[in-house]
Amino acid sequence: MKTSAGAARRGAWRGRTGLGQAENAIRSGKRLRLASSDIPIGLAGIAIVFLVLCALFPSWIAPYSPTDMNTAAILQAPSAAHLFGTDYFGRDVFSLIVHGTKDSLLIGASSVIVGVLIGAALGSIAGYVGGKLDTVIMRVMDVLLTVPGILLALTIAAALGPGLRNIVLAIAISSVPGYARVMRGQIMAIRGRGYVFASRAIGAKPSFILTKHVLPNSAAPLLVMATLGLGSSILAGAGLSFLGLGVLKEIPDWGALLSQGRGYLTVAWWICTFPGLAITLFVLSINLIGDRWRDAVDPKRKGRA
Amino acid sequence: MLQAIGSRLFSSLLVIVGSLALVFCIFYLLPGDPVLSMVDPTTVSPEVIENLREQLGLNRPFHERLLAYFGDMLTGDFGRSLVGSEPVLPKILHQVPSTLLLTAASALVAIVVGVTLGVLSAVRKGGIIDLSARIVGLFGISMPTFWSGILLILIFSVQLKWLPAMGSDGFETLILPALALGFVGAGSIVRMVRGSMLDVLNEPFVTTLRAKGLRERLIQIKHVLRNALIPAVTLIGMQIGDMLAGTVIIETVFSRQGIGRILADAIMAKDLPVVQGIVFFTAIVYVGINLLVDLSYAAIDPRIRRKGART
Repeated sequence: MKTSAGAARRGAWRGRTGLGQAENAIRSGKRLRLASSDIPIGLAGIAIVFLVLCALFPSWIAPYSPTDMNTAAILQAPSAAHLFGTDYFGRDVFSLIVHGTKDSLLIGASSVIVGVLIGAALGSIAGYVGGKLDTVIMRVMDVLLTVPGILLALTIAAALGPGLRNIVLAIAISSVPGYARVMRGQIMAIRGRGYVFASRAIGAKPSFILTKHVLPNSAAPLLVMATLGLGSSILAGAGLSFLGLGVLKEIPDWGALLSQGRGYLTVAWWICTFPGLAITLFVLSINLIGDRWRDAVDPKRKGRA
Repeated sequence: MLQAIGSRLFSSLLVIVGSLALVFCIFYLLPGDPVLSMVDPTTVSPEVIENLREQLGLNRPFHERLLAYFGDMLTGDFGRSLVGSEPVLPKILHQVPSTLLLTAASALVAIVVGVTLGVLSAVRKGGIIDLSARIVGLFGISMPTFWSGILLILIFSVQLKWLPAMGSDGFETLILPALALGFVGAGSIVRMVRGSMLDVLNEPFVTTLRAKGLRERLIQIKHVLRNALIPAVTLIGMQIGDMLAGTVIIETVFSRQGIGRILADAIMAKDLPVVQGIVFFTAIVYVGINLLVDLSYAAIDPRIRRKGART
């Protein structure tokens, strides 16, 4: 009787933090429950694999070279020869999109990685060390959060100037506070767990406890957040490119391609439509998978689907 | 209650000062020389550049510049644009109404579509409305605003010729940009309202209300929606801030007047005073909205009201 009361109390505590379930879901292998009947998730997976292939091997997939200017075929509507039509230089829009995939995905993925690394590091330090350092770090994060993300990214990108690396930095920095907050909350919940006390009692060093016990157990929510963050990072990157802060290269990324086609809206709808479709398709697929993963990790949300 | 509002106002003030310092630091710490974006170093002698730097106070130490900057802000002096050398404050204030109008219209679209669809989809879970709500939610957060704006132009201006594609005069020019910007907000709001409605619908007190024989409609509106509204209101506040920031892109797409468009131009020209002024203005609106959100909690939830009265 005593043990069941203890278990119930522990269960209630874990339920409050939402962590117990997350751990259990992962341990029982329910992280990604891809039922064969789940068509949207399957399609999302296929779309992501295809776009990653486009990014890795563009010249295998694109029928034309992205720099190939065919003056005989300027502003042609979509046809069998040019699936997505041609632009004002006679370049094949489909090939341009395929070749632009690399930079678009690169901006999204690297800014999420940089943002998560910085955010997780700051959040862990704040949550684990606590005290004044915690206050200082979190107040700085609060200030960063008061400026809307896209505005912060814009300001940083403006100060740094255009370019791939600068865009990545700008988006990464503007996403840091969110990750830091989640990580800090996780760390604070887990550092009070029994196994952390036990480890400390047998004389483990703080760095050992942090890397072996605390971090692995607090990763799940952050990973889910990073997956959903990948979608918004790609949107932000495309937005900055669209405003002209992007990669200034011969082969435009999706945002820049869209911005270039804007001047030809009345004569060539396809130049703007298809790059936007590519962005939406990718972000939509990421969000579908991120949603499903979050639902699997957080059983409180199970009834919602 | 008054005391609670007072302390919230004070912390809002701190946040505004913090965000001002943040923008200042971004431009101070990150590389890039505003003087070099004003003049061409190949044609202008180094002495002139040095003089210009002196004039703008760019070669004074960090703390002096920061203090001078705060002092100027307090006296309402936002400096002059580095490009046209016109004063920043009137330049911004002149364009504020147009942007606020667009933000308000977008917020209206987002809230009406988001809350209605969110509530209906939770109440009729699994039906056609639920499916469409989930599609709106997913597409809303996945479509770039500039693309939905361009699609709206293609359909309603280029093809159907119903509405103008650009300009900022009159009500017709407001519709398409507000729809494009509002759709993003609607996406997030649908997802949040649907989720929190479903959470509340599963709570035991709803079963109690049903057992008491209350009409389902009354339960949904008076009890469930009201309880589900708190997280939704928080999100709506953040979304309005994001829509205000999103005008940078939408005003460019629709060639509308407004501070978003000025900001886009100022960023390309590295026009620091204008960028600072606009970020400052946005931060004030953002903080103001969050303050309203906090105060609205008390209106929605009597428990918070009572707690606020005690402290």
